[in-house]
This record gives sequence, C-alpha cells and structure tokens, in this order.
Amino acid sequence: MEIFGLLWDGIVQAAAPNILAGTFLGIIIGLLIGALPGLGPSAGVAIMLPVAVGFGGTAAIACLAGVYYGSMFGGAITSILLGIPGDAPSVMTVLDGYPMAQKGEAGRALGMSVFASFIGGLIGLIGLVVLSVPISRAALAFGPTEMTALMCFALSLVSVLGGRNVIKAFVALAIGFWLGMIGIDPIAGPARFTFGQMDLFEGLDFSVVAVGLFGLAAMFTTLTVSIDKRLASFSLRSLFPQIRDAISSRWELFSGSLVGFIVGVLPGVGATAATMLSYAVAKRFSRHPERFGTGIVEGIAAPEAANNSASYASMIPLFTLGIPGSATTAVMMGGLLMIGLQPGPLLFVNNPDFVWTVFGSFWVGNIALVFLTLLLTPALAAILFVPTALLYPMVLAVVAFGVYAIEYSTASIFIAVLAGVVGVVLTKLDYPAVPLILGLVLGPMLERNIRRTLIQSQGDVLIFVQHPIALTLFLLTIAALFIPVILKLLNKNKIPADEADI
Amino acid sequence: MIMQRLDQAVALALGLFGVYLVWAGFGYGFMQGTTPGAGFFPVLIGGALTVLSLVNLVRSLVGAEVLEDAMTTGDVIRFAAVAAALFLYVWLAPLLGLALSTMALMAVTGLIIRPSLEPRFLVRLALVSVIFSLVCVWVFGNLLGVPMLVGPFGF
Amino acid sequence: MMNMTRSALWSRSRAALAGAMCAGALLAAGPASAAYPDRDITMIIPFGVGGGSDVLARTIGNVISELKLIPVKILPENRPGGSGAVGYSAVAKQKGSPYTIATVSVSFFTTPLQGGSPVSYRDFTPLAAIAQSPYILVVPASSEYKTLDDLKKAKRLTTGTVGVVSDAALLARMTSKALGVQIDAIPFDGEGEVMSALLGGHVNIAYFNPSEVLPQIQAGTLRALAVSSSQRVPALKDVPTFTELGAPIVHTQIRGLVMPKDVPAEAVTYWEGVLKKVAESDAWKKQYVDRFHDVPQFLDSKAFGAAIVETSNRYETLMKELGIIK
Repeated sequence: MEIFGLLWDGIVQAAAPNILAGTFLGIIIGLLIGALPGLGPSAGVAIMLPVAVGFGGTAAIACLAGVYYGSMFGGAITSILLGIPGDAPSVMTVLDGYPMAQKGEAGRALGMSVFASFIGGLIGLIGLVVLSVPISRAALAFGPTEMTALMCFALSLVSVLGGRNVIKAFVALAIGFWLGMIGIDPIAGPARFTFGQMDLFEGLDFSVVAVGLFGLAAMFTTLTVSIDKRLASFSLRSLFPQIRDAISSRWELFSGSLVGFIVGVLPGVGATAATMLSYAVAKRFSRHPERFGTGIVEGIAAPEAANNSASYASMIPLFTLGIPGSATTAVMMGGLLMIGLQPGPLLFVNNPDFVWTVFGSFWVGNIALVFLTLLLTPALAAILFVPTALLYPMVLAVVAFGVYAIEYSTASIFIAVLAGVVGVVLTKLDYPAVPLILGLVLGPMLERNIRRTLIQSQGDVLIFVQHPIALTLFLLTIAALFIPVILKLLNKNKIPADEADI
Repeated sequence: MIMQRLDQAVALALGLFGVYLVWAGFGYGFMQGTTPGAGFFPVLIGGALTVLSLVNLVRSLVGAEVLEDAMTTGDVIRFAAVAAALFLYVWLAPLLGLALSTMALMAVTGLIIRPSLEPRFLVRLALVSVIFSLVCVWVFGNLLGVPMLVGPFGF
Repeated sequence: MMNMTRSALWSRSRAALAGAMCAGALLAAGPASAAYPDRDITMIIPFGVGGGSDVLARTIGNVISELKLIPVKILPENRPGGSGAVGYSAVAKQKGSPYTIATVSVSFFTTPLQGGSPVSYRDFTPLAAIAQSPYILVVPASSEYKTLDDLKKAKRLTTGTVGVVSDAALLARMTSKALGVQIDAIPFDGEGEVMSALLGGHVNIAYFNPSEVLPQIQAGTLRALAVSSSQRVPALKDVPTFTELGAPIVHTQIRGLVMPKDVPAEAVTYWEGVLKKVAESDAWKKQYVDRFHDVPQFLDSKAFGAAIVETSNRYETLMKELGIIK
C-alpha cells in the first residue's frame, strides 16, 4: 500500500527534533488546557497560535494539532476525578467517570479513558490516512436537510438518556432548547432572551453551563459528605488502570470511535455531539443499559473514544478541502495561513511532504500521550486523598479562573455559579441534567437546520422526504423510536401468555 | 413535605415561564414569509414547557410523584453559604483583582466546609489559599496569556 | 441578573475610569505638546485570538513597529464577547484618549444596529483606512452558470451567508436587484459551513474574501464570476468587476483604524501620517496584502469617515428591508 509508505515516511520526518519538540509542547499544553475546567480545545489552539507560529512550518501545525487532540485526553481528568467537565467534549465522561471515582475507582476510570482515547485516536487516524479524500467528499452531501434528519435521529437515540421520570426529562430538554436560543438569532436576526445584556449577545458558552450544571452542582451537594474523612476509600490497586477493562468494553470502544469519526467529519456538528451520540448508541445496544450512569467502564469508553476519533476526523475537511468544520479547525486554518501555506484542495498536491509529516506527528503524539497520561494517572487519582475543606476551595479557584479565561469575563463565572445553583435544585427535584445539556447542544443545530432547509425549499416541508439521505435517516429515527416500544408491547403480551400456558 | 411544595412551586414557575416564551416568541415573529421565524421555536418550546409542567404540577398535587427530602438543614445552609460566597466573589473580583479575591474565596469556602478554629487547619488553609491563588494567576496570566483583572495594589 | 449587571458594569466602568483619568492628565499636560505619543498605545481587538480581525490588527501592529514609525509600542489586547460589543465599548469609553485604537470589522457596524451594543460608529474617530477586501462571487465548477449574465436565466437562486446581516447578504441583495432574479440568503454559522454548502451543491452561489476562495479557484473546484471592488483584483486578473459587467455593484470591506470620540485633531493627523506610510510600505504588502489578496488603498480620516457612514447606512437599509429593524 502506497499510503502506508507515505505515512511511514511522515512518521520518520515527524521524529525530527524540532517537530518532535513542537508536538510534545502541543500535547502537554493540550493536556493542561483540557484538564482545566472551562477552557477547551478551541481556546487552547487560539492561545498557542502566536507561540506555535514562531516554530515555523510543520512544527507549528504539529504543535497546534497536538493541543487539539491532547485536550481530548486531558478533558477526562477533571470529569472523572471531580465531576467537572474539563471541556465540552468530555461532559459525557462525567456520567460514569465521576461515580466510579466516588466508588474509589478513579485510577481504573482514568486508565479506561486513556485506553479509549488511544483506541479512538488510532481508529480516527487510520480513517484520516486511508479514507480522508472519499469521506470528505461524502460529507459534502450533508446539507441543511440532511443535518436536520441527522439531528432528529440523534435526538431519538439520546432519548434513552432521560432518567426515571420521562415528563421531567422532557421539561429539562425544553429548558436546554431555550438556553440554546439565547443570543442573536443567526437565521432571522433579532436578539432573543438577552435581557439587554451584552454578555448574552453571542449566546451561552456550552462549557460554562456544563461546568456549573455538572461540576459546581456536584460540589454543592457534597459539601458535607466528608469533613475529615476522604471522598471515598481507596486501595492502592484502584489507582492503577486495568487492561482487562479495555478488552471487556471493546464493543463500546469500536462503536464510539466509529460514531465519533463519522460525526466529526460533518461540518458544524463537532466532537461534543459525537460523544453524546456514541454514549447513547453504547447504552441503547448494551445488554445492561440500566447500569449506564452508575459508574461502569463502558460508559467512559464510548465518549472518550468518540471525542478523540472526532478530533482527527474534523481535521479531514481542513486538510483535504481547505474547509474548517469547527471553531478549533478554523483557528488551525489561521495557523496554516500564517506559516504561508494555502489550505485548500491543492494542499495535498502541492505540499504532500508537509501533510504526511503532520499526519506522522499525530501518530507520534497519540502514542506519547498514552505513556504520559498513564504515568500521571496514579498521581492524579491521588488528588482525591486531599481533604474536602482544602480540595474544594482549590477546585473552586481553578473553575473560576478557567471559566473567566474563556471570554475574559466575570459574567461567565456568574453564569456558571447560577447554573450550579439551578442544577442542585433541578436534580433534587428529579429533573435530569443530561437532557438539558443535550438540548443546549443539539437544539440550536436542529432549529437552525430546519429553518435553513425551509428557506431553501421556500417553506415546502416535502423536501425532507425528497432527499434520499434525509429520508433514510428519518426512517431510522422512526425505527429507533418505535422498535423499543413495539418490543416492549410484544414482551408484555408474551409473559401473560406464557403464564397462561402453565 | 418541603420538597413536595418546592416541586410544585418549580413546576408552576416553569409553566408560567413557558407562557412567557410563547408570548416572547410571537413578539420575535412566528413566521417569516413561508419559513419559520425567530419566534417559531420559542412558541413550540414554550408551549411544550407549559403543558408538561402542568402535568408535573397535577401529578405532584395528587401525590403520583413522591420526592424524598434529600438535603438536611445543614446541607442547605452550607450550599447557600458557598453559593453566596461565589456570587460575592463575582462582584468583588473586578474590584480587588483576581488574586486577592480568589484568596478570600478559598479561605471562606474552606471555613464553610469545615467550620473549625483548629490552628493547624487554619494555617494549612491560609497557606493553600495564598499559594494556590498565585499559582492560578501564574498559570492563566503568564503561561496562557489570559489578561488578569488587577486590584488596587497592582496585582 | 442584578448581580451580573453590576459586576459587568463595574469591570468596565473601572477601566473607563482609569482611561478617563489618564486622558485628563494628558489634556492637562496639553495635547498640542509635540511629545505625542509619549506612552504605549493599546490596540483593543474585540475578538478572540486567531480570527480574521485579530490577524489584521496584529499585522498592522507588527508593521508599525518593524518600520519604527512611532516611538512607543503598540500593545494588542483581545477583548472578545458580545459580537464585538465588549471590545468596542471598552474603546469608546476612553473618550478623548488618543492611546486606544481598534480596527473596524463587520460587527463594528452590525452589532449596534441589531441592538447589541451601547456604542455605534458615532462614538469613534476614524483615523484612516489602509486596505480594502473585495468579495468574489463564485459558483461550483460543475455549475451551469458560466457568467454573471447566466444567473439571469435562473428562476431563483440560493446563497449562503455568515449571519443575517453581513456583507454577503448585502451583496446578494444588490445582485438580486441588478440582475432581476430572486436570490434567497441562507445564513450559516461560519465561512467553512458556507463553503461546504456551496461545494455540496446545497446553495447555488456564494461571496467570499479572496484569501478564502483563491485556493478553491486555483484547484478548479469553484469558478469566479465577478469581484465587488471598483477595480480588478491583482490575484485574479481574469475575473471582471461587477461594474464591467454592467451591474452597478461596488462594495468592499474596509480595513481601517478608529480611536474613541473627541481625540485631539493632532493625534488624527499624526496617525494619518503613520498609516499612510504603512499602506505604502513593502512590509505591509508582504505581510498582509500579498497573503490575504486585499487591495491596498489609503483613505484619510475624512474619506474613511464618509465610507463608514455609507457602510452603516447600507447595513441599516438592508436590515429595514429584511424587517429586522423598523
């Protein structure tokens, strides 16, 4: 295979000292930024942009990309240890990671996240190398109509994430939709629900809300759990990752990577939505869906594999077509321009050495991250030995700084604290937080794409069934919604029948 | 019982909020020519919120949903105190700068979580507050280049 | 909500207070003193690091310091948030202080018009413009439309824009009127999404800045039909202007600098001189014009001011036509 020859050359090139230095700086900063609550990959890449451009050429892009996929490894750390999403794509990792840490299995959970990130990264990288050109063309087939159908399909899958009380889950979803509407309406123009606040004009930052709703709310409700005693009892063994977890959750790793890759390639969807879908897929097809959310390794495997896979996939349109599909890759495109390269369809043709060396640096970086994070895992997991009265003040300080740093604004801290307070009230009243977060991420995409489609079709709703991809997705949506109901009904009928036989 | 009342109050408030969304939605424009306008989704979401919340309210009133009282009075007081400290922090940070106000926030929340005057704890909390705040200022301000809010003493 | 209002106001009023005090001290010392500028100039960038406006602002700063045109430093400071409102308000509040500058951008005009900012172009002093970024009308290479005239044959066209009120939306309106064909603008969330929609055939036409679209034209995936500047763009010599083709459309994005309102006239003259040298320098050509394929063009304070008013009026008319404002 010619591709693998090119890739091998790229990896050799990427081992050059200056590129290696760029990659390592990138992944370390990425780990840090991913782990700091609030700050995510797009902020991280932007922060490193002026520094990285100084390295020049390939090393600069290797460094920026390193920040991106490094933050996908780092985001899981605070999600698992403290229940505070380190960045938006690691929100779903909180659901099973944090309960595991509370059970005293922080090291095991962190280990799983590292394996999952590595496997997801590996599958993403293979896809990047082998499929990048055909898949980037295929992704172009997704216009507003197809996106609408995809969002409907996504929402039908994630309906499994509701929780006990279905009505309250829908209320939470509606609140999330509303939060997503705040700010200027990008389709028609007026500012909605901003109450005259400048800080709300661009809408709410997803990670600010997520940090409050999950992280601060979790802290607010555990203030008295342990004044002197530790959060949970630990054994030394629990600090270390376990290989057999990776084997037992191989299906979640694979499906998560696949979902992450496909969603990651699509323009404007992003890694966060990919993690939500992959978690929902893993739960829906699991033999024991009821255990998701209670602290099982499979619940970490799926989203963590997905976000790493998506991070590589989202670079495909950038490198093959010159299209930045997300905020993070848009900043990377700025980096390409600054080092004097023209991102576009000819990048592969004109600068093959550059592209393959950058791809090579991804492989080097992905493997380096595994060793780095595995070495750090026991030390990180030991953070939970710190008594609450000292740990929580430190965490609050990091949260405050991290949230402030997103827009250099104390208004963001205010919003996060408010989300935390609301989060406590809602969870105590049995309103689940996950649908709210889903509504906030998927709601705007659904609304905008429906409205785009109808502008395109001049209000004709038949357009949704005239596009074959959209039609297929809608049929899948109906299947996803009704098959479980039908199965349930059949089972109900069967059980009395069986009993009647006896 | 308190939780039950709170649940009903929240359901009622959300129901009314849904009505507000519908009203605001019509203000933004329900349709824009042949396509849904800026108010289309607010109206739908608001309507759904109102209907669902009324169902919740009725279910709670007839006792179909029973919530257990999850927090003790001590829990609630600590939660309120920490939240208040954070809101105060948001107000103080632009005045005192991030370094000083973060030190204060850490010390105060530490004392709320563990209201103890034991000298060893106080010394450790004070040290952690001062050192950790400065570490944060260094990491964010110097390493990541985030412009810091500075107080009257220039830091 | 009260709490936030107050905190937000505080953070800004404190900055404004500091600025006002400095400005006062300066006025006391006499603005006419030949010493201007005697301390570092803050360049506020109302957007995050890495975007188009950020690159522009930083490049101007670099060129000025490379050519040693002023005796002090220019300190870039990113103040993102509120679609530019946060940063531009911070500049406007330094009323009278010739030590704060900012670059104009699309949201300099649109955010105030959409009611998102307490300050508008009237709260600023235009200094000078140093370049113009034209827009290029493109169609996919596979499109049946080969020339601008071919678009007239269409019953109805769709285009992708970034935001409801944007240069692309404005140009779509102008094209629609000039050619007498219905063009519906579909707003997307970024240039990348518009490009995807165009290449995927989900919209028929689109308008891009040269740097965004040149690689696609060179690769043969897109075809350029016309440019929106009054003269042809050096990087695309074969592509005619709209006016050459008989469509009365001239609209470019002006790259220029502003200061807060009421700065001393000496400061304006001083900066006109500095920016004229920037616009004519090789460093500017190499670092910005050649890289982003903009058209270098110097406008003095008065001409730039007139262009600002004209641009704002165009946006206002567009918004009235779209029914966003009354």
